Amino acid sequence: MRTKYIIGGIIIIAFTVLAAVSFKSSLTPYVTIAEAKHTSSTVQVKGERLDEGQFDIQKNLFIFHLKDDNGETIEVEYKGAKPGNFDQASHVVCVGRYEKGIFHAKSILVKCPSKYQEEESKV
Amino acid sequence: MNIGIIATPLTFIALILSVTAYYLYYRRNEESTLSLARMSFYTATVLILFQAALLMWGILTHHFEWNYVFSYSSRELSLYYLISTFWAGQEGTFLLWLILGQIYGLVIIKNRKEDEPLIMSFMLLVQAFIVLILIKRNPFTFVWDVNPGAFPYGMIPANGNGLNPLLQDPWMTIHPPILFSGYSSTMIIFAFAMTALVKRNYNKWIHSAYPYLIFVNLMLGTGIILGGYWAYTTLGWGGFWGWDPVENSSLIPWLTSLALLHGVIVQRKQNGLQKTNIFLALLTFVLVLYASLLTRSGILTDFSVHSFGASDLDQYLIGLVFLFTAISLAAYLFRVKDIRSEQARGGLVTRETFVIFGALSILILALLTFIGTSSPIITSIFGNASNVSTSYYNTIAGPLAIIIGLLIGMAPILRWRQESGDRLKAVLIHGIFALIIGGFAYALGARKAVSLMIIMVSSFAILVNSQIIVKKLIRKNYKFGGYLTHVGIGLMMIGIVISSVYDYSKKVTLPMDTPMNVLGYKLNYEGKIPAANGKDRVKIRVNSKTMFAKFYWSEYSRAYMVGPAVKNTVLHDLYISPIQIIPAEKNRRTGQQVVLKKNEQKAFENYILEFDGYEMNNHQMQAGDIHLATVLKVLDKKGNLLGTIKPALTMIGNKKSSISVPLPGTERAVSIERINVESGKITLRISKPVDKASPYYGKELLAAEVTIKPMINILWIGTILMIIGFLMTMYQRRTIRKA
Repeated sequence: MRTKYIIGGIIIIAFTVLAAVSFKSSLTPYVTIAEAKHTSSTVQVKGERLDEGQFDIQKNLFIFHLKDDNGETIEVEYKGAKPGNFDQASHVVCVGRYEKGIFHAKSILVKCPSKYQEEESKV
Repeated sequence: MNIGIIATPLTFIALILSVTAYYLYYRRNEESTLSLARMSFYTATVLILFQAALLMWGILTHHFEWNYVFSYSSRELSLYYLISTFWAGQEGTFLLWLILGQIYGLVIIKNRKEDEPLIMSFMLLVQAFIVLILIKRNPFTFVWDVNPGAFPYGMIPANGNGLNPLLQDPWMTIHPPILFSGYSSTMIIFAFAMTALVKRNYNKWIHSAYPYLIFVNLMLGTGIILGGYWAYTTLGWGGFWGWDPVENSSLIPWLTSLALLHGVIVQRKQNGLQKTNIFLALLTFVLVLYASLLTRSGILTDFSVHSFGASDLDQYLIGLVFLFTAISLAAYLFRVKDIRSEQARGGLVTRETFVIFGALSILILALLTFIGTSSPIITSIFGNASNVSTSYYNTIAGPLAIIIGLLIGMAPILRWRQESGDRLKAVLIHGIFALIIGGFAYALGARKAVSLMIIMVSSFAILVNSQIIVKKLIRKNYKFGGYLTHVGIGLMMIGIVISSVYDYSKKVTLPMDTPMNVLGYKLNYEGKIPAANGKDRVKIRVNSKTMFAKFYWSEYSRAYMVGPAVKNTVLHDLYISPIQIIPAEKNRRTGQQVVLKKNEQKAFENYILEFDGYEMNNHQMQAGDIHLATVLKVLDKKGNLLGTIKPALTMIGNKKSSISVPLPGTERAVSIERINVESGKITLRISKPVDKASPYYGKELLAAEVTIKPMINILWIGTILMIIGFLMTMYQRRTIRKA
């Protein structure tokens, strides 16, 4: 009779711990460029793109420059071609980490300036 | 004023009247109040249907003077998409909710005479609050009332803005109505639970609520799956599930309603879990409201691939969530001490214990998904708003899937209320088969422990449940909906793991008319095919089959609309997501950027560049024209001066151009990309011709991500079986009740 409460308790505790650990490690905070330069963990940087960027076909690398609200700029490198709708976006969000003068973006979220209601109509 | 705008407050009055009359009837039992309540309810139903019909008529006949019609439709839309315009915007989706809510009300009146007054008053109270939203945001508002600056009074716009192209997809015409019928049906469960609390009838309510509960599970599940399928085939997110806040917010209430379904099954067998079940019923509804807040407000704008417009409804929606949380919590806490749930009897190895563990696992997943989805809100309390990445969800979902798979496999063979450890021997053979399947998976390359475990426990669950189905079929017993649903879940877990953990992809640039070998396929980009309706597509030949992927500029979204080409084969999908088309003229030269400050030296390959300053030259130029050159010294590695070059920017009239100059002794050209006056930095572009022998030289390129998604068909088969299982259970419940 009591065993099942113990087992239930163990499951709950185990997942609380697992969730707490992975919550902390997978948290990708929004930071300024200055902050991004001083950490080696994965962060998100939001800013204005300064140029249309360059795509190096042979290296399969896309490079552009980003400026945040504090006016600081950074070079961003992304493996792959220029993301869709990059040219139309005024602001982009880069998720990645800073290393040796370059921000290595794992993903780039393109924010379109459009009026664009959520495409899924959900309650 | 439009007649529709008058109908909305009338609906509100009719609903409030009905709520009041129903409550009075419950207290005093006077027949006259019952007929008043019903009459008001029918009036509200007619008014809502009238508004819906009016809106549909307005959309179909292009009444662009109505803001809603103007905002979401245009003359170019086909009939099919004009119909789905109805639920393209918030106002329409609330109207859809209202219609469904009234239909549920009609069903309740027909089926649940004894509980009608209270259930109806709670349901219609919710309906009334939804109508309040429509009073604030009415679909029949004229454009000149919304935006008097752009539209003079009485001017009917010639055409509308058009429908978001992402919604112009066959799947999107059925996904919202189905998901909405799931969302709004949680209102029924809420009303049942509240009624149970008021009437202190904590045990009987589950019997009458059961078929509705299955309906909630079926509709939410189907809606979520359709949404995932749409994301996979149309949006080109590369997957069917991205743990995006919008997706999560519909998943969470589904999970709690699944847990509730299992809790109710246990309560039916042995009267336990009474408190839990009422709590879960109330929670599910509140979570649907919370979902509406998350997806309709601007709270998560920075954390979702969806863009949300900040809306003036935020405060109201927050109020709605708090109000119903407060009502539910107050009613629950007021009565909870009163609930005398029978202790769950029986020991550890009984059916109910295993079902309860299953419900517990589902709830843990719901809670942790809730925490993850709300992480921007939670973390903003302590500092920078942060979001968890998908690894958080995957880390917790994996082990939970293992537990759930094991329980699905073992629970069906156990007896209710009796210790039945002896029965476990019966599934030993299934376990051995599952291990063998795991061995095959390992041999085929599945090496991650968690994935391998999920594959094995899911196989185990599928084997056990399938055998039960076969046995029942032989005895001509067709009550196996639940087992079929579990076979479906098992298949889904296998499909999800294999297709998302063991997929592999490659980002490629395909030169036009040049076959390239990618992941075992011969891909040939054959150019962009213009379409009459503006929805251009790129043509890709895959081996010998021609495929198309969506790629066009949408004026509506001010963005490129890109969709994947998906080639479905028995064993895997080939998934080609276009990223960008790079025009031919850009591919004669390839370049690199160098940023320099004044008097700074920077190494570039074998050279050192030094930026010495600017030179303005108005010589031979018209007044107002500008020629701004930068003076650059080019040195070799040892510091010997090789020459001075002056790339320049000119402004002649309004025409800006960049003049490039060769880098001494090379094929490279140097041009100014940008001058930043503020920081005093210049950005140079140093380019060289692409090797003429290269396949990329001077050709239009299609950049794309090519992915192989193995075994994804297993997932789709699983979802279909799951839905059929729910349908069967619901149908059989209906016939039992009739009998």
